[in-house]
Amino acid sequence: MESTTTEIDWEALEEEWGEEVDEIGSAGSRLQRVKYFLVDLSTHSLSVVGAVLLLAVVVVAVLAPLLAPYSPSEIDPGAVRAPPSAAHPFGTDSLGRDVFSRVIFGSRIALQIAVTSMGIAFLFGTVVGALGGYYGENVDAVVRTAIDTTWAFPAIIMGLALASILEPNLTTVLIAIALVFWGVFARLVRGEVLSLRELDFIKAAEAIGLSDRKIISRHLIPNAIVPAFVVVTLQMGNAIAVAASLSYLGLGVQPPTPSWGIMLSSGQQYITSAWWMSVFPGLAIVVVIMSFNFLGEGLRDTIDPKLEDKR
Amino acid sequence: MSEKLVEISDLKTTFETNSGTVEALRGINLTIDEGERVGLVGESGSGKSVTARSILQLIDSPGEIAGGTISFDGRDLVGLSSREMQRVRGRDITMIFQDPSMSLDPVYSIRNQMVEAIGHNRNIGDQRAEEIAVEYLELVDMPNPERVLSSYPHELSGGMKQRVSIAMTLGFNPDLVIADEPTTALDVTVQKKVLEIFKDVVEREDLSVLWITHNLGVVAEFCDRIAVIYAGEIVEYGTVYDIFDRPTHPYTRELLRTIPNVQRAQEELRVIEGTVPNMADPPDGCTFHPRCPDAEARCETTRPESVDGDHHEAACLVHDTQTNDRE
Repeated sequence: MESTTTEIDWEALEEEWGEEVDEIGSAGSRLQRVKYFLVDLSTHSLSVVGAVLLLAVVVVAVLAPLLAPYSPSEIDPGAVRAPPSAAHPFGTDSLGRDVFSRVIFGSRIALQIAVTSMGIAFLFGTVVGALGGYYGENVDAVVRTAIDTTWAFPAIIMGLALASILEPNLTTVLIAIALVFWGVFARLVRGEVLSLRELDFIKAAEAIGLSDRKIISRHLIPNAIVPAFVVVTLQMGNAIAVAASLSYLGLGVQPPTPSWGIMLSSGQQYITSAWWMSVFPGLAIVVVIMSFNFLGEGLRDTIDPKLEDKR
Repeated sequence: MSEKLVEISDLKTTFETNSGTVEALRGINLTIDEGERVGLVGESGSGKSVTARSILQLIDSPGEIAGGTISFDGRDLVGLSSREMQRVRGRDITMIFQDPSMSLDPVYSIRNQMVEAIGHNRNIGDQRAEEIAVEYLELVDMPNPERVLSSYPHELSGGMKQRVSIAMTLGFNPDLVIADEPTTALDVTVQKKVLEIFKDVVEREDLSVLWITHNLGVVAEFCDRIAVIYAGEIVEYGTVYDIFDRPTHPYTRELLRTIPNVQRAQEELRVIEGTVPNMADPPDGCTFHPRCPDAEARCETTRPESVDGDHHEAACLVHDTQTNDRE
């Protein structure tokens, strides 16, 4: 981190240029840093594509009631499994509901699941990982075992198990996904903390009498969290895939909620006669997962200069 | 005679490793008077940093303090709970680290870090803490404290960062500062400047300092007394004049001879033959005997008595400070 930035020796500069140096300090304002970061990120063309697509999905989700021509649950008995037309751009399903409107409303569920489940996993994983890395020994042994245990279960199995214990609904899906993915963040943050705690500024924080809680929350986590940001973006795509799979298996969000996974599974049996029922929600899933991955990769390349060559 | 601030007696710190118990400190005695500056001099691996971390009770597992007492202001630090010790750190005893580029948190501005640390250790509000930060930044000769406060560590040069560390540490108003080679990572010219500033501030604030280094030149300039440490034991203790003018222990003598002398052109740099012993299996008798030019048969079997750490004394069977001082 240190080697990539330039040091400013103000005294030397001051001698050379006099008062002009005064502006240098302001070059590092927070806003400017964000700007530089965004400029850097925008050179990564795929991540721009991902960011634009995601932004579009978010806008669609927020404005769903305005954009959708019909209500997602509105039934038109006169148009069952109607092919795409001007009135129904993506056709209708076996109850005569507008697929276009349902895909639009489905984005809400998808984003809700991605953000909430990853949010929980991220918070929980970060804290647990930091505790394990900082305290080591017994605490770390428990943390490591817990991480390994969750890694041993594929997401679908975990979801199946949870859905059989709890009711299959949105909360169960969120818990299942968070349970599967927290280990990713915990492992990452734990590793970062292990190397950070050997550094002088953490030892200095100990030497000046800061409490463990302050050292972890103020100095360890903020320094360890950046790689986790990249991973959270990449994993949001996975979270949506898992949520869709659970819905597909009937273990996730329940009908009549317009979830892409449910639409996919209910359209499956008509794939030869009414392809639009499953193809459009399927495409929506693909687009969202792809955008998360593009953006995540862009973030990774921007944040980690060591990976620059691999672009 | 001034008050004794720190009195370390028979301090033993050990590390459990796969190859057995390593005695990093083998019974250290050392006193630091109020307002006194003591230099702890030794090679890499001699136990300098372990001594510092033992005083602060920051020995990480698998290390532990196996015995002895560290009396600070009349209180034994070894028995304190971790919460009580947290209060001692920073407020009473604090430490300056070797590498200034790593001793500041890269994600926070200097203002943020100084205000947090000073506020925490003085129990004062942010505004007052910032005033103190500015005051101490001026004290360490920083030209524009406001601008320094607004910058991030990577925007400062090494010398500036070390001055920030010094300002921050001294801003706590501690009684004892442990300085772990704070000038080693700096350029020679900057080193001199930082040293002068530090000396100035320490004199003004009448602080006690334990200065840890392998650089005898710096010690001569800065310290009142010197403790020479070898293989986890203090082999010689005395005033700067005792050590430089009348070195007694062969190790001290050898150490002094390694300082290059510009006046007397030497063909090659002098070194002390051999290396610091493996502390998992230290030699019997005097730990220095395998490298000692004056070693006798008894040195291989008899361990010399350790020094008290309050007057000129050498832990050596062959040489005696008494006779040496008389010469």
